[in-house]
Amino acid sequence: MNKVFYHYLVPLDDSVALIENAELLEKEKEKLIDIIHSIYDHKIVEIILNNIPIDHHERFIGMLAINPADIEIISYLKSHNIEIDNIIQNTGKEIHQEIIAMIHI
Amino acid sequence: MKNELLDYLLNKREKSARFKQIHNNLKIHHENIKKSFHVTHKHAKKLLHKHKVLLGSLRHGAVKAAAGAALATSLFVSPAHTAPVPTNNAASVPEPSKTSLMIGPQNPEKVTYNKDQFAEQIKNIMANSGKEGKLSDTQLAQIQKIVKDQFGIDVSRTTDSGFSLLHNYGYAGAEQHVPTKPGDTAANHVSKEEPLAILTGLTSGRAAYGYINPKREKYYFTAQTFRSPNFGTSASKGLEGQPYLVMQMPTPENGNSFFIALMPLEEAGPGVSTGKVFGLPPEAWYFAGPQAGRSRKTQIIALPINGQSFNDDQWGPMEVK
Repeated sequence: MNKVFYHYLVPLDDSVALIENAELLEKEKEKLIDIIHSIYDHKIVEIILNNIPIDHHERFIGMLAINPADIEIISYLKSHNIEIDNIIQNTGKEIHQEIIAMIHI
Repeated sequence: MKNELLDYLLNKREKSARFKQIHNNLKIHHENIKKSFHVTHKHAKKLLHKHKVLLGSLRHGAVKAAAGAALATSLFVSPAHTAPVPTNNAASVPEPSKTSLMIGPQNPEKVTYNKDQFAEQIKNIMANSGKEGKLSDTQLAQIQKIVKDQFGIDVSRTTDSGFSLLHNYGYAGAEQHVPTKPGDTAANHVSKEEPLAILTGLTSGRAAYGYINPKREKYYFTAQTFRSPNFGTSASKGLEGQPYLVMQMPTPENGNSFFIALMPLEEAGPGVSTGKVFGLPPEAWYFAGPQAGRSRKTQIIALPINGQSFNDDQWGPMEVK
């Protein structure tokens, strides 16, 4: 399984660890981890689309299609928004906090 | 026995209820996020469908196997893009053919350049690359070919252990001297290349990997290892002293200067806020050209060298004959 291009900017591993360490069946953990990955994918891609010009959306999605693990994607995004890595980092932190809240209710 | 069974069943029921609660919370949140995404970016939904990208499954890798075919063709470089520029002393070296940088079985012959030609090749390969980033597969293949032909050195994007930096090229700034032993002072670092070592100064602490041999200290370089996707994994262990091939990118900003040097990675940095992604030692500004020397800032390409070790007399700039 590959790491996604934004992996090193967000606390995805910490979010997954919350589930890994919970007293749940393996099958249940897998289900929840799948949802967590999907939450990150949707939120991060959304925040990227919000922060780069619309003309570059297709190129970005095309890069995802070729190799979602390619960290060159970040370089490409930075050429259109120099702050994009900080934006992704902050969004990642927010997602993690939301997940913590939902798990520890 | 009866009590144990009862505990077990209660525990199981409790766990199942817990799973349902977490699952329910996450699922509702997930659905809301998806709705928000599709409402805000209707056009993106179409693009994702067109490119067969499935959000939620990005970690399972590429959903489209077009990359292989694209790469196979992109390795062949346009002759116009890479044509070497003749120089005054070009007569002393074999004149490369116009397609000399094509990678592949059509053109396996070895081609070497003089310094100006080599610099021009680097300049062409890196044209329009931007401030910093990762080399494209084509750029990497081109650089691997000319470096191998010229110096017999194999460079790569990753080290043998699988470690790769976030950036293969970008701005390098000026580092201070680093201590080579306990009680070291800046005055100990005065040399022909660095007569102002006392002004340059010495860092208060040791480098990331400890005290550095003086010969290595003269030519060490620093990189943002902490920004690597492999940072903190087993791939990032044993990086101290990892040999790198460091090449200056000739640009109008640095007066089209060029150097190529063997440098050991000995320190982590510079900080992200500096806007630079590498650091060069004080001595490097002696051979980085007067413009870069004045600004103490220049763009470089840094690629790890695998399968070769070097003795401490070999570090530093390399001659391009």
